[in-house]
Amino acid sequence: MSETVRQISRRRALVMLGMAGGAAFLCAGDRARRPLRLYRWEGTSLGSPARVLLYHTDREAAAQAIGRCVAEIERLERSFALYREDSEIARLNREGRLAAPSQDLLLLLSRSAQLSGLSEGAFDITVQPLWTLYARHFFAMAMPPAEGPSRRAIDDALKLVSWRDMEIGTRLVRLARPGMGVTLNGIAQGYVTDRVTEILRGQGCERVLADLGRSEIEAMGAHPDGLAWRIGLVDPRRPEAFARVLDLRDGALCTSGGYGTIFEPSGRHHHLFDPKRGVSANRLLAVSVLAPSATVADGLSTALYVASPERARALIASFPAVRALITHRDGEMEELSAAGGDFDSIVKPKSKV
Amino acid sequence: MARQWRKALALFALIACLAAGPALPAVAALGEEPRPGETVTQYLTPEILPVVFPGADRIGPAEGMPPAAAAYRDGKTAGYIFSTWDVTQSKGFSNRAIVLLVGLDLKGRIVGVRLVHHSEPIAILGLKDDALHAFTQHYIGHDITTGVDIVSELSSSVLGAGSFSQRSFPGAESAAKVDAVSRATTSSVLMSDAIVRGARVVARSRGILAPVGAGSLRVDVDHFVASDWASLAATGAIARLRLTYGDVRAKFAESGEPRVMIGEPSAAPDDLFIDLFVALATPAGIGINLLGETWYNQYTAGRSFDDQLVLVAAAGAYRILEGDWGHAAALSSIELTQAGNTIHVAGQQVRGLPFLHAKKAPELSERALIFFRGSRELDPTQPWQLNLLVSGKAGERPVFARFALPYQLPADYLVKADEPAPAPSGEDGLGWRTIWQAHLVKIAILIFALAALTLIFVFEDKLSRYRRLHRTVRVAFLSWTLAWLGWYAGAQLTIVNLLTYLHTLASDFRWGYVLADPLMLLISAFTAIGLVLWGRAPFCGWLCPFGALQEIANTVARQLRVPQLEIPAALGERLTWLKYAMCLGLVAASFLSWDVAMAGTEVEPFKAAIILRFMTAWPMVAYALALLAAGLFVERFYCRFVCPLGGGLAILGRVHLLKPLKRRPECGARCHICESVCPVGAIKRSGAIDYNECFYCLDCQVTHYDQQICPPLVWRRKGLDAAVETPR
Repeated sequence: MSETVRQISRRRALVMLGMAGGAAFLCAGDRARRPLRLYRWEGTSLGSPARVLLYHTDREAAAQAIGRCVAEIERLERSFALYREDSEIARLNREGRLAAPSQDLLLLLSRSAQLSGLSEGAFDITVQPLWTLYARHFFAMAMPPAEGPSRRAIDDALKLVSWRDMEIGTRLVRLARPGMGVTLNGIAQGYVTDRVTEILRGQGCERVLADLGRSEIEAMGAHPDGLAWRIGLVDPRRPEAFARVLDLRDGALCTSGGYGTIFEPSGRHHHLFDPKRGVSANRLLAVSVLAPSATVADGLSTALYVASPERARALIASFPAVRALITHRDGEMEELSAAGGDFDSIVKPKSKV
Repeated sequence: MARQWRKALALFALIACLAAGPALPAVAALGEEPRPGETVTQYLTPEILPVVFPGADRIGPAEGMPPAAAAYRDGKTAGYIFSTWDVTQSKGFSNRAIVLLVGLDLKGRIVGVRLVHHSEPIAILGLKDDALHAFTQHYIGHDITTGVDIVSELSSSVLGAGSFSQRSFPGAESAAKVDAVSRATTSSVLMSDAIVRGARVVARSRGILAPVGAGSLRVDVDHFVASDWASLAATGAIARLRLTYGDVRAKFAESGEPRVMIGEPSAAPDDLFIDLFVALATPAGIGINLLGETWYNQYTAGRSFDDQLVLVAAAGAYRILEGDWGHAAALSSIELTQAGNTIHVAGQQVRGLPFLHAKKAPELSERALIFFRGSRELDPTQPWQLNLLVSGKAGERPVFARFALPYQLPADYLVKADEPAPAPSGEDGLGWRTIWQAHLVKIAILIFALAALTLIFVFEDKLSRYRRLHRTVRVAFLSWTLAWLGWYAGAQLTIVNLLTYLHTLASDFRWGYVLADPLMLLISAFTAIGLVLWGRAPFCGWLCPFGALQEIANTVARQLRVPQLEIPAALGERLTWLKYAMCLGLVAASFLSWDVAMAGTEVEPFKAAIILRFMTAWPMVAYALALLAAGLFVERFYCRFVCPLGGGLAILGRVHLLKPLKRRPECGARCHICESVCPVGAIKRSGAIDYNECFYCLDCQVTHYDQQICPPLVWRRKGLDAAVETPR
């Protein structure tokens, strides 16, 4: 406010003084206009590469806004990062219980339970025992059998996979059976992405693209020339090419695919488990989801990747604002949404938080 | 025989070796894990140095916490080299150690990374060792501060080789100029975390990144300007979050939970769900206005500048305070966040408040203080937010919605922290010496008075021989107790002090708390010593301002010939039990609910009559006056029958060592004069003194030594000794 006033008076002074010098005038004029500049920050979130692009008129303010986001990412890592032994999730897995859970953990656990219910278990954060089993099989042995862990070992691990057997309370989160484990890797990055854009919005940033973990992308506003943010969707069969390029204004995009983290060269065994059968889900190649929030996009892309076609259709029906793009094994692409309409762009005003 | 033994032994050894054979490699593998804290020196060879820190010509020893070696260039520190294993102990997919050496310059940029140890299943992941090394090279030039770059040419630079996002896409369609790329999650997670988090930790410890909360400001705990609730709210000193049922239901609906049970199901959308207020109460300018000076002083006593008090208050349908065991009330739906920290509020940090002293405060149903220790928990100079978690049910499933209430302390309540905080001592860092120095005169006067009182107690037998001197000393001392100690200095010991001492002993005893109020400490200490020697009397009879007030009022009343009510001994004895019941009730209540106990302590009229000098709400004044009025007809009515503090002290003083008040064989036998002389009925029919009720006014002793009045003495003087000796 005072800034504007000062600039106007400065301008008026210049007029009164007449042409005091071209350089000075140019400088003042430049400052008065305060052009939007695109700033970029690169770092990590939940251990994955993270990047934020934002337009701002002021470098200091942009850096300060980013500073808040980085602090928030660090804060959430202390809740959700499986790889940190001191995180809440690691403690929960180690001890089977967690007293005085953080609000973020409660919100995300209850959000996960909601998705598990709607997807009838296709999305399940208690699949961690399966990850442990597969990681041990493929990574801890010098020459692991390519067919994966034995059926018996899988069945034993499956006994520990049950999202219903997790008690969620404000004072205590508890896993019903010893050996159970929780992973939030299918949804936490989306949650962090939402928090980051929320903070930036609160800091007055209107044109933002947050890209955390290379898969969760959330946009606010557009380029100053009015063009939307352009996002390339990787072709799962040719990872060096784009299957599509789409426009994103206000909304989030997330892609899940078995090709992301594989256990062995054939790619048959990967990190997206079917919680019912205990093996990697291989019906599809990839699922991309456009949603108003990155948490939903993240969780839903995982759920749709694993779910049966019928379940997937029913699931998408309960999210009216969501559109999904499914890549079948033969490369065929299918669009899925409750309301119909194009996958190519999503423009939906986000409600204020 | 010996040979057989040797054979058996050899066989046993052979079997053991065979059995242990397969286990040996496993043992070796376990032993491979590098020892944290030593890996910098272990792996930092002259060949690796130029890779990890190009241009460095000398390396210092690994030192500090976390360990890192300084890298020098031309004799000046150029940065640090650390090993990720020493700092984050990150493990790979194989769940075994990954060790990376990382060079970090003084600007917070990573100048070099080298993977020196790992057990990753490279062949399986389809990577070559080179690829793994190449991956780490992406981090060179990475800035761990929160600096931002200007992007001049968006697409090409975003997708440039040095960025994390993706390679460029030569074969892709022409529209491939994109701002970002979406692909399935890749788990390069573990090494990234090791490098970046490790660098952050090292940078903070070496002052490259500013440590959180290193400000040059502190909260102003001295400056006070009277201010009402509305003006505090207007400046932002009190922040507010008002939510209707409609707001909360909308929030749940937004997260895909349209049917959630919260609070009253039939509530209309406009009905108030919660009206939540939060304020930092540490600054005198806020805290005194909200809590009142007495309570502000009590709550901040003995705390350092870094310790913070946050007031949370609410009205509406949603409850935030839950009763809990102990004196705390839990605030389980509330959490604070500040910068990178989630600040959990534990039960023992919370204290429910029965009332506030704020002027024109809105109607509130819940009030609580949260205590934070040190700026590491909450930095008051920086913005923070209070998060309210609303719990609901969607069928049987618990669901949550969160609402944030941001808070930034207005700059008016901050002062420069240039001048060092007064004399920090020990871990509490409190300025108790300063407080004692500031109150030196008061302390001297009190010590003088306590010394005088000690002399009175020690030489009571001498004093009691002089009726007029005794009367003068007694009235003078009580007047001093009332006027100086009570009304001027406000040093009235109350049951609250007793409860607080009890609880601090039970939970966290801190000398700071005790030392911060020198007068109360001296009185408490004297009372405690007095309890052991003489029972409750030194305090109750001489140092209690309200007691003094009653006695002086009663003395005046007697002078004015106000008739004194005789309470029959049997009834009197029953009534004395009331105060014990009060005391035990309050102690018990305080362990169940501090709120209830605090409400119960309102039975004491001390606050109205002494601390606030009758300048307070009329019901409290009326109550105090009523007790005083009763005292006009029955000496020390309150002390004898009601006072929970007196009851507590009587219990604690039951086994006092000295019983110096003189008795004669005739006392209670042929003579009962002292029973009627005793103003408080502490002398039993048997002539024995009930020390639980005795206030050491010494009236009985004055009678005892009075040749003219004490009947046995009169009898002796008149030669009736023989008759005295004769039993009834």
